[in-house]
Amino acid sequence: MIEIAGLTKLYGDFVAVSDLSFAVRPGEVLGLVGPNGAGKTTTLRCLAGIIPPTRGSIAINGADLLLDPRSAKGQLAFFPDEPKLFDYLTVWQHLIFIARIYQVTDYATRGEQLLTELELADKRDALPAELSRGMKQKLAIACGLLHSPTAMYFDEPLTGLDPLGIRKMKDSIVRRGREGGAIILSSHLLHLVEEICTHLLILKGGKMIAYGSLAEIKQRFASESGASLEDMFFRATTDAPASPPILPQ
Amino acid sequence: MISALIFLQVQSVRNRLGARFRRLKNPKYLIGGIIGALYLAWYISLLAHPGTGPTTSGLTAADPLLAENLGALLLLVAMLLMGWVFPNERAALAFSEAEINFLFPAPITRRELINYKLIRRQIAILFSVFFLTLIWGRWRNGGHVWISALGWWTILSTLDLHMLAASFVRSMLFDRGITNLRRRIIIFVILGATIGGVCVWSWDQWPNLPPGAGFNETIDWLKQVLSTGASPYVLYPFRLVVRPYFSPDAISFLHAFAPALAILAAHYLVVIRANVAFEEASVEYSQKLATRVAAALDRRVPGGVAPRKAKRAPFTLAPVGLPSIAFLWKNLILAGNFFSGRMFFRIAIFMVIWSSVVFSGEHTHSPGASIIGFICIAFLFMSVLIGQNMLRFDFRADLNMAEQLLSYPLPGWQIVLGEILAPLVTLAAVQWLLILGAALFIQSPDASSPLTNDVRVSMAITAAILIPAIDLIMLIIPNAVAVVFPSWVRFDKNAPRGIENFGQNIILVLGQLVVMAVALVPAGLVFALVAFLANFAVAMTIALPLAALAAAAMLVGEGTFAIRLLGKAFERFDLSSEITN
Repeated sequence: MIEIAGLTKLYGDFVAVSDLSFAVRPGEVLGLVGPNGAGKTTTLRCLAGIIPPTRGSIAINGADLLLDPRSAKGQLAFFPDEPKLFDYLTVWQHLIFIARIYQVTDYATRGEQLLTELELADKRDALPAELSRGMKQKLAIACGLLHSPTAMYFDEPLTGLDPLGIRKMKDSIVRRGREGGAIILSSHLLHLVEEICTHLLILKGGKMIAYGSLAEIKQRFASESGASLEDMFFRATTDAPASPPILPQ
Repeated sequence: MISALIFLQVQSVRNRLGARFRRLKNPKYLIGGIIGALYLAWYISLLAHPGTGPTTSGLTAADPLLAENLGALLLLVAMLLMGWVFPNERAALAFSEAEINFLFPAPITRRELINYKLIRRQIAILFSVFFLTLIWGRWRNGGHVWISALGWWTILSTLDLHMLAASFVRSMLFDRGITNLRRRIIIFVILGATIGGVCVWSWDQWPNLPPGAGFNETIDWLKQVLSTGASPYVLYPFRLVVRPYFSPDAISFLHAFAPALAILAAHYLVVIRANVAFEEASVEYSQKLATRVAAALDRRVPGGVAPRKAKRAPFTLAPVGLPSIAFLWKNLILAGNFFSGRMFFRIAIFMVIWSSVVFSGEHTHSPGASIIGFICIAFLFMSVLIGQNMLRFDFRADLNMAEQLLSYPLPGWQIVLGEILAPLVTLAAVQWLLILGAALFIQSPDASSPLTNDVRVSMAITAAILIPAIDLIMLIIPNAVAVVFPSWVRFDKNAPRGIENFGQNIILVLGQLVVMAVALVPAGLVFALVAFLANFAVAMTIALPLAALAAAAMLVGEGTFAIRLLGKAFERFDLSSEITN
């Protein structure tokens, strides 16, 4: 379970994230949406312990990320939008390295499973330079899942993936949620959020505009029955009324 | 159209300079800028006042003809090697990726693109001219700095255009099915025929170089060879290019400048009229360059070249145990592209066998072997002083991965320790080889020499214990800078460059020296004290290694304390503030 209370991040005088409080329970997939500059990535970085929040508390399954970072970080995984890999380590060497960092004793079995699941089994001796963008993303995911985290943050997880990769990634996120993971997913792709998220948090200018289950948000912002999440998003984040989408003839 | 391209260039330079000046509002850049400017001003003042700068002996051309001929010969060799022998590639003008995206699809002629690139290359040439004139200008041409500057400009511009023309010719040869190998064979045949022809023509006119000739005799002989027979004719066009630089006064410069300009113009015409497709090769070259620059600036890989082949792990990494060892393992894989344990082992075996052969039988002293030993000692000193700057597979390579490192469930000190281990182990291995080399090859010239076997072994063990401990401190310093002042370490594409960065580097080097001195003083005192006291109980050959152990323990203690402190600093490392700054 991920619990956030009063999370605030300032860059000098600039407020990137302001007083966020929410929780993601096991099995829930929270969609973090908002216009550019809303503070989504900053929020995820704070939640992953990468940048220190200016104020507030973050707990992962009861472990305070600021007071007990080792315990909290040991239970989470952060998947940035751009997979960052070590250029000189092969796919399998990445897993060995991560196994030692997280002390994963059964890494060999688990690593094989993950590589098979992510269709990287035949690439285990390949360097990142030999992998496509989607494969790099998969390797980053394999590294993140090796220690069986219970809290997962995905930042724009579909960037650079082909249609098949997108389908598999969506299925993978949904399955991790069903298996009891607490997941936060940041994306501009509202149809993705609508498809796989159980909850929604809309940010604008670092502030929470809306937070609740998808049904609750729909009830609050939908002006008519059958309104899409896109309509609701525009209604929630823009002052001016959204113009209707242009559909193909 | 060319006016638009010039606008692009001028605006780019203006905006870049503007950004630099705006950045000076930030105190850390302002301080760096002031220090950098003061250093440059000091250096220029040294050059401007004769007698205070580097010695001028040997730089003043006592014999203008010899200087001109040697300059022409150097130019000939440079053009031959850099334009015709070494290069493998087709003609490729280096455009940035943005230039390719905007300019190649635009309605711009090939000639305009070439002119644009030539203008850009002129900026680099003018910079080179400025620095070369600064360094060499005042010793030449009776103090006429402008003659030096224009002379350098003529030489560098001609060389640049010649290289470009050569790349166009190479492309044309490729298109006619002439490979690099065939081209080189043709060049060497022509070269051999030319040298042979010159020798045959001039043999009777050239003086003999007496065996055992000294420096002056050799110079006289060279002067004769270059100025008699066929040599002057072969060197003539190259002499025309370098002659303005060697002109002693304004009148002779003007006489020399006209033919040099004519050669330059001829090169320009060849380049501008050549109908060679360079676009495809330029796109490929620019992409390669962008990748290399990005990798180098990201410091992902030293030198900016990503490995092409996977490297074997140096040892089996168990999934449990001290996590710092994972960083050692990882960084040794990176280092494995350059060093490997097997290589060290082979070198050590080779050195032992070699020294056994050299000192076998009656030979107890060999001057040649001693030279090798002293070279080992010289490299050992150098490795202690600059080794930490050469082996950068630590935080300096991983800082762009800070986001990942910070997400690991590890205390900061374990990450710091892990990052430092790989260069430490590698440096120590190199130094142990050098110590071994020094111990093996420096032998006592005679029995009365104080350098007995016991003394050599004692000194080698002392050095082998002490030096890695010193390395630890030396490696912590640049890694501390990377963690505490990350914005002073260039690790992303937008990192600062220019005079302020130069000044920051000076501050960093001075800071490193101060910290190193402070860290070494207690260990030095411990070493002296233990050696002094132990010498009452045991021989000095035993006392020295004992003192080294004590001093090394002191240094390791200091290092442990520093790693703990740095670990705390890394845990507080705020990536966001570094990004926003």
